[in-house]
Amino acid sequence: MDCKKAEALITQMNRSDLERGLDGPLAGHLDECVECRTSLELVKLLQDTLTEPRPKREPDWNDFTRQVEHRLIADAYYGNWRGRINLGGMMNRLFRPAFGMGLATAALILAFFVAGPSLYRSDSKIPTSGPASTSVNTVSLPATLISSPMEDRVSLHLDHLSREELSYVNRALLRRVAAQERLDGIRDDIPSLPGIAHPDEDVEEVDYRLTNLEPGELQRISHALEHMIPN
Amino acid sequence: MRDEDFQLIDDFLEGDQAAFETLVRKYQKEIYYFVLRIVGNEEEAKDIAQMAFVNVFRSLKRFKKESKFKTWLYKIALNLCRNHLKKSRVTPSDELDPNLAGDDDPADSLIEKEKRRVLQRAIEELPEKQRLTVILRTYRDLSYADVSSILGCSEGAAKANFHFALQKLKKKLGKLYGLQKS
Repeated sequence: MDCKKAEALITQMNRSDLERGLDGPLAGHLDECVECRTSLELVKLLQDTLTEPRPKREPDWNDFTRQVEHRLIADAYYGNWRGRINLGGMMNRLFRPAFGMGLATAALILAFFVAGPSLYRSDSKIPTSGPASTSVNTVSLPATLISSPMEDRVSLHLDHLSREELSYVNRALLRRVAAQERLDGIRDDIPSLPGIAHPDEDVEEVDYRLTNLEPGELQRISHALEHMIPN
Repeated sequence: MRDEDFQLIDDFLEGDQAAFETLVRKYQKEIYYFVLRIVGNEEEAKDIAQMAFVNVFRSLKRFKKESKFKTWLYKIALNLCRNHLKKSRVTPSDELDPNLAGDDDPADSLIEKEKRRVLQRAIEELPEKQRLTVILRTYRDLSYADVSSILGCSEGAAKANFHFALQKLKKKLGKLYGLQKS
């Protein structure tokens, strides 16, 4: 056996091959060749050294799984508009005094022209809170969901998700909210939600539940979401 | 026999939500340790490993099952590691956690610890593809086919990377380890 073949065999060996030991032509070659013996020793050394890292603190694996679920929920909510709007950057700019003053003045002028006429109508009200409006592809929740003082409500576009993903996220969301907020009525109903084989029904069911919540319960849900999203 | 991971993916796509959780639970530990080995920081490793699963979730519908699920998952995690290292402009060896070299065994002599530290650093100093090939091949014990699929190169290139990495390490560590003495 020549060195080329020997090294090819050495580099093909996995952990169990190395533990089993060598025999045959390779063993014979290694007895005579220092260079190939060195390669083998190095491969063994690498396997001994590159063992499982030992973190200072082993992660809690149940918590790890839960955090993945939280991220999926947050991703469903933030994902669609995060790419288009850099809220962090906007807020940073807003906190610059000159920019903030200018923007506030512009917003006031704009608000006067846009909302002004409707204020004179006796039957109109400025929407501030109350039950959420829903549709199949958009869920609207109170603005406490995100820390933006600019918007009274925030529409959560779910169009970019597939039906299966949407259904998964919705269920995970409801289950978590119900568990955290002790909304017993919802929690009891969740296992009986229609199966994912009927995603339309599933989504409608979730929407139905959101529309039928009391404003106070919606507030609690949005607080729970606010708590979950940073995770 | 049908691949267990493919079955779980099909189950998830057909509406079994628990199937995705099963996939996360099955691979979370392995992916976390792999990422930790690459980035060298526990919190960042946790963050990246979790994002890898989020990315998997987003792309699961597009997964064509032309490779194993595991190698696809590794590929996603590795890309996130690369982006992270690029963004933070930190080489893993800059913040190398001594625990990664496995040197907290009290039975080890100081010399052994120092040797491991030097070997670890020598690995970190290898060119990226060679370093990743060494890690995937020896630490994860993956086949060259899997390594090439994860790194997006041919099997021959993966073998060549491993060969050149060995040559470099032999040169660097030969004297310290007495590797070249007969």
